Amino acid sequence: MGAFLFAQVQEGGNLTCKYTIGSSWLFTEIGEGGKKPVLLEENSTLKPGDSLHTKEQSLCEIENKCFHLRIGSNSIVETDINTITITRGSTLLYLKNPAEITIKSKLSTLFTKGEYTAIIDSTSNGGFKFIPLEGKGEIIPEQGEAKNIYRGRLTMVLGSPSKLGNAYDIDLLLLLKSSRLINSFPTPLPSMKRISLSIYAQQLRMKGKYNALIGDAPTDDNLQMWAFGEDDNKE
Amino acid sequence: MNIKKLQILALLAISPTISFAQADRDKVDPTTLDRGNQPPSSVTSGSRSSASAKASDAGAQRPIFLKTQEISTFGGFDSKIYYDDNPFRTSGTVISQYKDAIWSNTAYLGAGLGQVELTDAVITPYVGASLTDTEYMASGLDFLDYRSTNAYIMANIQHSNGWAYRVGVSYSSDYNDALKHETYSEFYPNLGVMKVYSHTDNILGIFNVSVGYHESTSFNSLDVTREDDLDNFDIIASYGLKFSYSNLSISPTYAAVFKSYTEGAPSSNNDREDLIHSLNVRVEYAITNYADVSLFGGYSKRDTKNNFASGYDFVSGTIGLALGVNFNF
Repeated sequence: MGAFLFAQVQEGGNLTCKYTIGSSWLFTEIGEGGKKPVLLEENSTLKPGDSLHTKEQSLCEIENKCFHLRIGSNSIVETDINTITITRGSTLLYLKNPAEITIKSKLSTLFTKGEYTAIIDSTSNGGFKFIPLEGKGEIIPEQGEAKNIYRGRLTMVLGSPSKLGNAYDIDLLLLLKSSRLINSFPTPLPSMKRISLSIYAQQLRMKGKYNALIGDAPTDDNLQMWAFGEDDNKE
Repeated sequence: MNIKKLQILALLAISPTISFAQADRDKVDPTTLDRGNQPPSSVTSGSRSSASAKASDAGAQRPIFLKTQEISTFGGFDSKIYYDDNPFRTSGTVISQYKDAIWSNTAYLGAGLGQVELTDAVITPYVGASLTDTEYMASGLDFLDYRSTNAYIMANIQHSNGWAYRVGVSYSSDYNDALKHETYSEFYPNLGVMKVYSHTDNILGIFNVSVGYHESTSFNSLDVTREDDLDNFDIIASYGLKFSYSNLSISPTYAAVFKSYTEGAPSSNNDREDLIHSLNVRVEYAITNYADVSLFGGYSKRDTKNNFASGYDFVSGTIGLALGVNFNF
């Protein structure tokens, strides 16, 4: 089964840019290990090993037969056949079919299996946050036990060999309202209806909200939390 | 499915609303009783509290805490006082000339029995019960004061296509305080669908259709049981708007109900069909997440077609004030 799914991803073919705003640069191989920057344009094609750099206020969306990748501003993303490496910034990954995808950051590696939509937000400690918006599957660190993908559950991916850090249920509705990766594109995500269903299911289970926002993780032991307002745990 | 819809989704559920028929000319017509056999819209509670959404690329990540138990309970109390210019829903009779102030108090309790999350749907079963006490305050008809009980079990299926499907059965009963016995009861199996539309950020449209069968037992003025006299199929279609401005909402709703009675001769309801139109408006102000006050008014009209048609047609208008408190945990 795994081999079959892997084959599916391989068949995804080259990635094509479907949308870009601002300036994003594609660093593509020109032979003998050299790379040349090319301004990303709609319908530009990305080969395995190419890396994409987005500038401030820039966004772009690339896709192949297997997945959509939306890349936020100030991000550096590299794609290979079944691997997505994000060394800076944030990205949104939507899988069109069940697949095995490896997500890498500066330090950490996470294997994923399943069909899902997730935001990957890199952190200063070299790891990243994995935030599934919908879908089912597993996340498997290099060290430690695998966990099921659960919508709205932010999981820290830390260190090398990577392990899963703390997990936090976060307000999906607020995330959805505030995320440029979701809202700032001309076409809605294909999984938008399922994301809406995730929000509905989360709202049914929600007991309260903390008056804080999760920020960066400067080290493996620290996670920034920005508090606001008065105590109002139960809403 | 637009995000705004999620503020109100599902669970508006079964509203048998205008059901059955006239059991007796000198009794309250149970047709117009609004039997609240539905869970509260738990999704709406707390919807006012979202922090302002400042855009970022990944999005704001606000931690929340979830219920740890599968079963969640809810309950509340609603009190309303209103003027009704035809409280007995009849015409051409002495009693149809009465107008009255009515005080109605409802206590309700229910439970959500967990969720089944499928790829494209979330199934939520509910059970619940309510008790309503209704008093006629000014017309000297207080011997018609009654209590209604209602219990239901239902499943709500929210699909990712935006439609909410529901299936359930309820039991209702009316008990006359003066006679000290039950005057009406029914089982009501029903199916329904609902969809919420976002017209703008502040305006939702709510479309609802349901079908059901009222399996009734009623009594005439001699207290003789007429087992099936008021049995009927009904189809209810409604469309409502909800205008939301901070803590205030204004909700006009139009509903049409078609009823076809199934008891044959010699029942006076043989071949009877009703068409009921109603237009209601509610202005609601949420005082807290647990309490609201509202002003409501409505107009309804029934056209009846049958062999013995007399006094079944009616028009009526109501206006009143309501206070509600609720809890979820």
